[in-house]
Amino acid sequence: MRELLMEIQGISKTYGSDSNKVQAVDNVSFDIERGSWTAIVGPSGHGKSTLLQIMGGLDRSSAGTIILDDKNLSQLNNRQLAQLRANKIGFVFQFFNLLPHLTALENVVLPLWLNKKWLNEKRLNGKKDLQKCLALLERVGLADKANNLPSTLSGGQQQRVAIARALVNEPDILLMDEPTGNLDSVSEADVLALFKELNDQGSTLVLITHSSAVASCAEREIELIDGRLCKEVSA
Amino acid sequence: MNIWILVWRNLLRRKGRFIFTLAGVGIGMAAFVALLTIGQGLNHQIQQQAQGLGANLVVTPKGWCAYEQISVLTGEQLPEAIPMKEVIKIQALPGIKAIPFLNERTAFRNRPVPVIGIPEVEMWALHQWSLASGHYFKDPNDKSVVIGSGIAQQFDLKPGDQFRVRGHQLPIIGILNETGTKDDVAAFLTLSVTQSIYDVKDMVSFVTVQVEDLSHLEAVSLKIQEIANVAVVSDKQLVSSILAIVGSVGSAMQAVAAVGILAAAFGIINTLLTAVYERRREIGILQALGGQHSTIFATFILESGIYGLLGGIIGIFLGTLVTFWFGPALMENPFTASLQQNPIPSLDMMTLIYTVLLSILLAIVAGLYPAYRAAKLSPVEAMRYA
Repeated sequence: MRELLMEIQGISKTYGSDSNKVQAVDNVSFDIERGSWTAIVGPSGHGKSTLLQIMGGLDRSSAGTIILDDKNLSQLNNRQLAQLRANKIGFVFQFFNLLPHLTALENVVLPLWLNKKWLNEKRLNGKKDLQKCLALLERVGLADKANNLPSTLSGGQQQRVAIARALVNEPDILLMDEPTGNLDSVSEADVLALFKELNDQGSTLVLITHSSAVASCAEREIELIDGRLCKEVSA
Repeated sequence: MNIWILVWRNLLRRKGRFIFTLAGVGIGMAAFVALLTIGQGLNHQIQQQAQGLGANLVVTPKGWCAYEQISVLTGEQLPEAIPMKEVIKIQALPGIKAIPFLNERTAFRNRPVPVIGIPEVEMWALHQWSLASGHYFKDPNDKSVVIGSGIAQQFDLKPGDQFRVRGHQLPIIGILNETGTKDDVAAFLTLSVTQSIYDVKDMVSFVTVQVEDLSHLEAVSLKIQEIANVAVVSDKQLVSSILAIVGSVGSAMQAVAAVGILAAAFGIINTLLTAVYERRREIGILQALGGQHSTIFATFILESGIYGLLGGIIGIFLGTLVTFWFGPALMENPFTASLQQNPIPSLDMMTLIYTVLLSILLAIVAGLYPAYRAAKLSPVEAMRYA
């Protein structure tokens, strides 16, 4: 029996009001166990990304609660949510979202810096932090590209840098929004292999995908239709 | 990796925009430096000239001012002159330069000409005279005449000609350059010679008093009246008029400088708002990675502050160049033409330091709104933009 990491209880998200009301997520509840790998599937525009953003503290739900590490996300203010994102959550996006003017290494270091109170700790722990980031780049197979700008990397390489960046603060959970959606099949296989390796080493993964092949790699599939939890399948 | 690297990289991403915004701030601050220093130079010079115009106070025989009004009506003579012992008391006061002179008249070719007996050395320094021709008095007993340019022109006189004063034929030894004052239409003798010719030994008509610090004018005036049995007329009104003119010139220059600075500030606001618009997605990414609102706010404020710092430094260099290359030409105008010396710009270290601090402060204030806009973006809203 694995430890419960995140509880999603009756989450709803409504946009607009009255006649223009759109119910993006409708009363969704499920749990995430530490070390698990969950895929959220479903057609486009059915609330998957919205649910993931709420789970990651990027957006607030209209109703329901999310408990992560004994903290109720809906009760945290913006500053506390930012701290939670820095410490507990790693994000991976479909379009990589690397900062284009920073090198691969600097992109990986960035969350470390953001996680520190820059007013009090202007300097990072120099060598140690850089070694950690280089080790992560090595882990995703890109140690030799550390000083490259994102524009000189392929899509697969950029996504691997983004994964290294998501891992640098050693988060409790990795939330990934279609991480292979913008990759060719070779890069997709590489990235999936990396996810498998991370999961085997104990990382908790939640990813959104349209691809049944990608979803089948996860140990559990949750299907959202019209914002509702329609089906839950465990491997 | 630290906030400075992030800020610096952000600034240099759009090099053209960075350079042009910096140029805007630099030119605005250069205008500020140039106008301020030229204004200060002008102010300084005019104050100096105001002091150089001559006396700040005129010591007269007691009751003279009121009596003059009566004497004009009755045709009576002016009251008694001032005894030299009173003059000596006045000259002993600290922080002043007191110069006595004897004011008389003579008729030359049937025309009245003022004859003024002067302490020749002090008067030369006080009025900053220069000679158009001839030479100046050699000693206090030099029985000769120096005449103003107006008299020379009127009677077609030159050095070597004779000038008749109360029956005495005296040689003209020098002709003064035009001063634009009453000195142009007077004949000058040494004080002792004048006293001897007019038979008023140990008496003078007036004493002009130059006060070193104009702010002590009133106090000096009171002190003179306290120690000597004389009246004192102040040219405070003249001084305040001059200072008012200087103030107006300074205000006009400051207004022009303020427009330059405001334009620079709006340039910064415009650049940063554009940057916020362009970087919305990145702002969202920073927030997703754990960036606080305060961190986002700080990055934009620092960018703005760097514009201010570099713009201020550029402004100092440009402004200094403009001040010293074009300043003297800019300061030539009908008003300054009346001054006896060309004004020179006045540049001091404090002005330079204040300029940079002002530039940074201004830039930070200009950056507040863009930084606030950036910080208040919600992560989801920000990341929605591709």
